[in-house]
Amino acid sequence: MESLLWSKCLKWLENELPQSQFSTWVRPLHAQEINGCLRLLAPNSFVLDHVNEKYYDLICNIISTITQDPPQVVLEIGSAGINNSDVPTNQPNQHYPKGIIHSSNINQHFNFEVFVEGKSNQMAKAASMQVSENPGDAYNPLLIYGGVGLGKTHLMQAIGNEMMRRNPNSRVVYLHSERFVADMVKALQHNVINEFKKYYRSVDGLLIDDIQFFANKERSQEEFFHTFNALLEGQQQIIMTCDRYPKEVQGLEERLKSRFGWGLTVAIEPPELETRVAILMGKAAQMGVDLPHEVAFFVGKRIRSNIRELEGALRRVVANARFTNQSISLDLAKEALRDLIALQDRLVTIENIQKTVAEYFKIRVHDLLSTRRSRSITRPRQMAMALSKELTNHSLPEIGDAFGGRDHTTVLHATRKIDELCNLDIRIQEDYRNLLRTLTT
Amino acid sequence: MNLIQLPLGVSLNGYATFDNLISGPNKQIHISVKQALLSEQFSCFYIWGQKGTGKTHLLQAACHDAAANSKSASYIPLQHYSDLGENFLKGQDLLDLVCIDDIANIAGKNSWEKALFFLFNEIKERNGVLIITSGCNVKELGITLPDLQTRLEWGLKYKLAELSDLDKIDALVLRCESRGIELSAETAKFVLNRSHRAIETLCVTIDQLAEAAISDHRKITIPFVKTILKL
Repeated sequence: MESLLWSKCLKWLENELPQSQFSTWVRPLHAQEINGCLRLLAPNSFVLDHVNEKYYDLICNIISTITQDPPQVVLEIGSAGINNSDVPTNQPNQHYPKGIIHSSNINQHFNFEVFVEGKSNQMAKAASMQVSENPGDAYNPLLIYGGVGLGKTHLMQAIGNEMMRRNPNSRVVYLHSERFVADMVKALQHNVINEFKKYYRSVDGLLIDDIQFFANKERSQEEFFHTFNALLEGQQQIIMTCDRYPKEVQGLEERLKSRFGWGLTVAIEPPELETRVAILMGKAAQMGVDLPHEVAFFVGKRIRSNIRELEGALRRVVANARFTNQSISLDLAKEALRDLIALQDRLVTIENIQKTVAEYFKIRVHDLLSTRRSRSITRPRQMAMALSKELTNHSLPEIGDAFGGRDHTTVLHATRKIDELCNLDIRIQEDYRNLLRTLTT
Repeated sequence: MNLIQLPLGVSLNGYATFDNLISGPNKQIHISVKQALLSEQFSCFYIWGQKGTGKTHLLQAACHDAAANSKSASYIPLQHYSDLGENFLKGQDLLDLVCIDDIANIAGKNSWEKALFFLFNEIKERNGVLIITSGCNVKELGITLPDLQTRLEWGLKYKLAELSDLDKIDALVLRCESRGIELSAETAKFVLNRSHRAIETLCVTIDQLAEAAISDHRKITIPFVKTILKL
């Protein structure tokens, strides 16, 4: 039952504080009155911290005004309902302590059904599905790494959603690494580090996004290390994402890096054209929009770096169509993305490609344009020609001209050769992808 | 109750509302922002354009609009506050609307970029609205944190176009109207043709004329303009 004293105090606070502040910070507090002492329970350390800093004095003043006695107010993390021992527990895990409410923070829209699979991510998706079917088993921890905006968070949350679908009682918590750090700092400040530990160590699945942000935060790494060990020991699933191969993250302790590799580490690459088109079609369907294939193809061809940008472009096309009350067409898409296309055309020129390729292979632009035929020059030249064909709208003769007046058949040969080599030689494929990424982001 | 948070030393221009914002070629952008303010879903806008295209007016209008609908909002002009450190952004994620004016001031500053990236995530989680303006396209900003860059690209990106002469005339007439002073389109055109065409300069000129008209108890006519502006 809610404390009568607190009910009175609430009325005062409602008058004292703006509605938004009252609803956000004061309303979530639960109160218990024990021997004249008011015990206020905040749902998490974040609320506790804010209330302590901003409203504690005010609350004490109001209490002393009401009771005419010195106030006795204690702020803690917890919930009145859960602390009541009469409440049935129905816990799936022995390790789950009482009095902790886990907030999953998982976006329900991120599931496997809407995740578009392609060559670039099929391995990561397969591993994620396995983990969601057998959490805490073989692939623990699962680490998904890859560039920004490629779907790591989506996959990670899809695992969480699937775990909760299969076992509705499972406690799965998703959070960004920075939130982990912020919560830990607050827990230390308020001397509630044990609650913090209990919270994160009592989950069935811990999903930590962007672990590269742990870099150079030694105390957080220390805490995460122990959390990590405790979860692994309890066969609770850990899933992490990182923007690069974890061993390449500077400022991350070696013991953490080595533990991250204990389970399975999978990469996500930028999606290829077919996948980009499929992603666009899927996103459009989710928005209830009829997207012609040729428009999806046009946008997918123009935007290759990451899915967020792809989504941004689609959003813009849809907004334009709705505003002008037209159906989506190629012309409408071109008009909506005019600025973007103009900028790309300005940034991705043959000259820029030549300069970037020359820098990448540590040769001079002059060499690319020369008649030299040594392998160390020919291969970069062919790559620069193939990239010019891929990324610009110039014709084969125009590209040939820009490479020291070569014939269009030379350019055609170069593009075919690079295509062939990319399928045969992983190093050439890597070089080509790196250059493509550099030129398009 | 004031639901708009402002940094110390910053005050919102009371005139900068949607009612006083001439849309002209930017109608779609203004409508999109208004719609987002009514929605309960997360929205992010990256709006860029040259000086005088109404970026600050739009942001402040959004703040006024949010407050009128009992939503909390903040307006953060980074041109004045980028030197203060990124802690400045703490707590902003709790608001319904956060407007960041001229993000270019913090581009390349690692700690600021990280703070903005986290702010984006928090606002997204709480289904708030984030509007960011700049003088250039996202790709030309010089953001070094890819996580922030892609998030800015995820949002709706719009380029504000400069108002046409006719729109500027409308803007001047409206500006006078809001002060209860009549200004004919013909007189506004006269002012436009004889002043610097940047809207900010035109507004300063028209304010000067309005002040003079009030103190002299006169209407703003072409002869009056000639006298005051010594043309």
